[in-house]
Amino acid sequence: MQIKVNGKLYDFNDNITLENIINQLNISSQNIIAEVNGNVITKEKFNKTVIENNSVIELIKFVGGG
Amino acid sequence: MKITVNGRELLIENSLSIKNLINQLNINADIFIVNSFPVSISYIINNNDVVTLIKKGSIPDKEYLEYQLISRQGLKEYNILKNSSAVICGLGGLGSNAAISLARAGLGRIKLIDFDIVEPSNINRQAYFIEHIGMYKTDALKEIICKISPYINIETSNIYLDEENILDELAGFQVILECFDNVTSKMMMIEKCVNNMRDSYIIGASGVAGYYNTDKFTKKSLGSNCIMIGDFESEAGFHQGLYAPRTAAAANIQANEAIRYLLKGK
Repeated sequence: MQIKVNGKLYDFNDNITLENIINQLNISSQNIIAEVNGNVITKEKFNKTVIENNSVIELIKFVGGG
Repeated sequence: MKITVNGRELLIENSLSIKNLINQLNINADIFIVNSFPVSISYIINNNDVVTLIKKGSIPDKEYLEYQLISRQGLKEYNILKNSSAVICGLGGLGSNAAISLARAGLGRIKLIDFDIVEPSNINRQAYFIEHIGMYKTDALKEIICKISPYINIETSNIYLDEENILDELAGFQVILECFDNVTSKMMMIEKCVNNMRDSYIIGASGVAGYYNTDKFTKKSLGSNCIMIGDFESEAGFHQGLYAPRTAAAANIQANEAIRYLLKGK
C-alpha cells in the first residue's frame, strides 16, 4: 500500500504500525511527534497505531534551543 | 478651519504654523506630529490636520498611542488586536522577542511565563539589558514591554510549567506561544496542548540554532490547532550556539503567525 511520509510516497506492507514505518525509514523516533491524516499521535502510541492505505504522515522532529 | 490638537477638536479662523499654534495654546512641546508624521516648527497647518504636540521624554497619553497604532496598522486590525490575548511560554531568545513584537503590534492582553532569572549568558540573544541580570525574566520583560506600551495588560507567572499545571496556566488565551529552550518541555507542552486546548492556536518552534540560512525555516502544522516553525534539525549544543539574528527571526515568524491567526479570526 502507498503511504506519504513527509511529502514522499512509499510502499509498505498492509497493517503496518507507525513504529514500524519509522523504523523502516531509519528515522530515530526520539523527540518526534507524528501527524497521521491530520490527527496528532504521540510517541507512546506509535506501536499501537496501524496505518491504512493512502495515509498521509508527517513526522515532526523536536530539537532544543530557543 | 477645523483641526485636532492632542486629541481635541479646534476651530481656527486663519491658517497658522506649528510655532503660532504652540504660542497661542501655551503648550510646552518640542516634537510635532501631523497626521502621524513628524514635521518642523514652521509647518503650516491645513484643514482637518491631526496635530500632536509632545514634550520630549514625557509619556504620551493612551489615546495618542492608540491613534498612532491605528494610523499605522488600521482601525479594524487595531480593534481586533486590542481585544486579543496571547500567552508566552518561556522567555528566552524566542519568547522575549516574540512578546515584544506582539506588544508593539497592540495585543491587548499578554501573559508571560518563565521560572528563571536573567543570566549574563542570555544577553547575546534575549531582549534583556545588563541591568536585568538577576531579575526574574517575567519581571524584566514586563518592565521592557511597559516602556514600549505603557497601557498594555500584562500578567506574569514565575512557574516551571509541567504536565500538572500547564492547562490551568494557559487556559483562556487565544494564542499560545511555545518558546521553550528545552526539548523535553517543548514536547510536553505540544503533546499536552494540541489535544486538550482546541480553542487555542499553538505556535511552536524547533530548530533555530546557529547562523544557517533562514531560508531553511519552514512551517509544519500539527493537527488543526498547532503550527511549528524552524528547520527541525539545528539543535542548540556545544558546537552550535544560539545567535540573536536567527533566534529572533524565528521568534518574529511565531509572532507574525499569531497576528495572522488573530486577524483572520481563525
